[in-house]
Amino acid sequence: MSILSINGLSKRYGTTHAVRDLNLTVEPGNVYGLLGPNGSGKSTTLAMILGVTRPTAGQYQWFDGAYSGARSRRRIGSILERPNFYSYLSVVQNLKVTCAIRGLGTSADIDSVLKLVGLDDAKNQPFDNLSLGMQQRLAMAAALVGETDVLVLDEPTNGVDAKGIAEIRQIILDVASQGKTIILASHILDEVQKVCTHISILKAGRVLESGSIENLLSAEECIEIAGHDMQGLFLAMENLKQFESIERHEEYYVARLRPGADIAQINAHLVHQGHPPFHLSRIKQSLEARFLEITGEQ
Amino acid sequence: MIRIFRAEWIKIIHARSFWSMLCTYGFIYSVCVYAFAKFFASLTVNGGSIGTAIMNGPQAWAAIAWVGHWLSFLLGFTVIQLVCNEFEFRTNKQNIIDGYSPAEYYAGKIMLVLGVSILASLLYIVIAAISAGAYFAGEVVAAFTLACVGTLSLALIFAFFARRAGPAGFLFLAYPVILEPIINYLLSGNSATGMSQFLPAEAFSRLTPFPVSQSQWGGDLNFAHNSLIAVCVVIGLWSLSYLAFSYSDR
Repeated sequence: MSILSINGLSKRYGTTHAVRDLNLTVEPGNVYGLLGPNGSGKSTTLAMILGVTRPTAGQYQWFDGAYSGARSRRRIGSILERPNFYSYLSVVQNLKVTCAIRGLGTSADIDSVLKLVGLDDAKNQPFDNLSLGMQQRLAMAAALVGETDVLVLDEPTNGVDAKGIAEIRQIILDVASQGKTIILASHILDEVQKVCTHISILKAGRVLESGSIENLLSAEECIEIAGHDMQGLFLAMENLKQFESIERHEEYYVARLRPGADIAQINAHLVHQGHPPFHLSRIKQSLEARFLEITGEQ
Repeated sequence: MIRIFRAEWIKIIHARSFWSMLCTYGFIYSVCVYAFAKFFASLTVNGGSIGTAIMNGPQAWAAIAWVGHWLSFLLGFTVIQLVCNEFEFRTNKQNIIDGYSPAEYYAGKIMLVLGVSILASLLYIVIAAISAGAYFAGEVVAAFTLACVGTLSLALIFAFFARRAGPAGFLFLAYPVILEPIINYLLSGNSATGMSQFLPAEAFSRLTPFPVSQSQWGGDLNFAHNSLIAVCVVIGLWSLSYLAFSYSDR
């Protein structure tokens, strides 16, 4: 059973295409990142799958259609854009409203999520008195209360200080370790790389690339290589025809491998040619490098 | 339904502005009823006081209902403020995300309208009983409650369309004073039997007519007829604002 399947989802505001023909599937246990620059359609996509924005075309289905729209949302804890709560209600009262709407969660659940997000001391404070960081923690608490199966988080660390960011990341990882599915939209590459198992990279409303982080980052593998005769090594490598590109850095080359290239074979060939490398290591691109490459912003 | 009621109850029970507006309504209502009685007591026609005729028994309950209905615009502003705040602070969006369907969200607002109308009716009963004696006019109370539901539904539709308290409040005030008379004029209808009787302000005001009018229930028509029309208009208003809400982005 898939948690979420999206087929051809599009949203247009006048002549602007916020999301175009989006397709993706989220499997149980995935920590799925929607990665993209501002205005790439991440939040619009989440708003559509959470029922607050009507798609122009396409469809989506939660839990393989096992529940109706609203019933499925009750099994999903969400933070969309900024935290939206009743300013005159206290932290606990706001969570009681969330629990009442979901029809899930008890006072004990509320206490436990408040402890988890570090708001137990502020439980009786009105929402209006909370700092932005505390409001974001409350949003996290609201998403978690009532034993939801899925978390949908849109920029969950917005406005949170460095310590808070680390804590929220840890909460996300803890929730993921319980086997829950998480869908996370962010423009912070580091955040996505640290917590996500799968990602879709969006730009101008289109998915440019998607898959597991592992596959995405190893799709174009590179090696770092250095030898005593750097010029001779370069010529020997060029003859090999196993590299997409070779770039000279200070004391080594960074060579991007062609698909199917075999590093052991490359090493053997270079030794055979009389240019044995004294440094040869496989390197993976950072998500940042891969992201810039895919979005064409390098 | 219990789920919706519980959520709406938590929202309302802690909303100080709501309770202070309700208290203000009760206070102004009491003062107006007192002033109304004093004013009519001072009027004499053919040597007799009109006040004596109006402020006695069923007539008094009808008169106090008439005053209360006119003041219910204050409660309309409360409804507008509560509904528009949800749009302004995007809590309506959060409610949908948390698991309300648009219909459930809208049902919550109808509960608000009904709840406020019931509270206003209880106030009316207390004020009428104190001012005019414990004569219980079932039909008049029902008519007053329905008139409140209608007026607050009018506030609800403007709140859902405008989504901002200022424009919604302006429309709510301007509608019965400016817009409806224009529509009435354009329809060139007979307000007693023509299409004009289906216009909201007309339909609701006919439920609580001015007590010295020719008949207690407005011309030749009776309570059942007026109530049926008012119920149809209320359902029409609810349907319109629900459709506007459910077919738009939150």
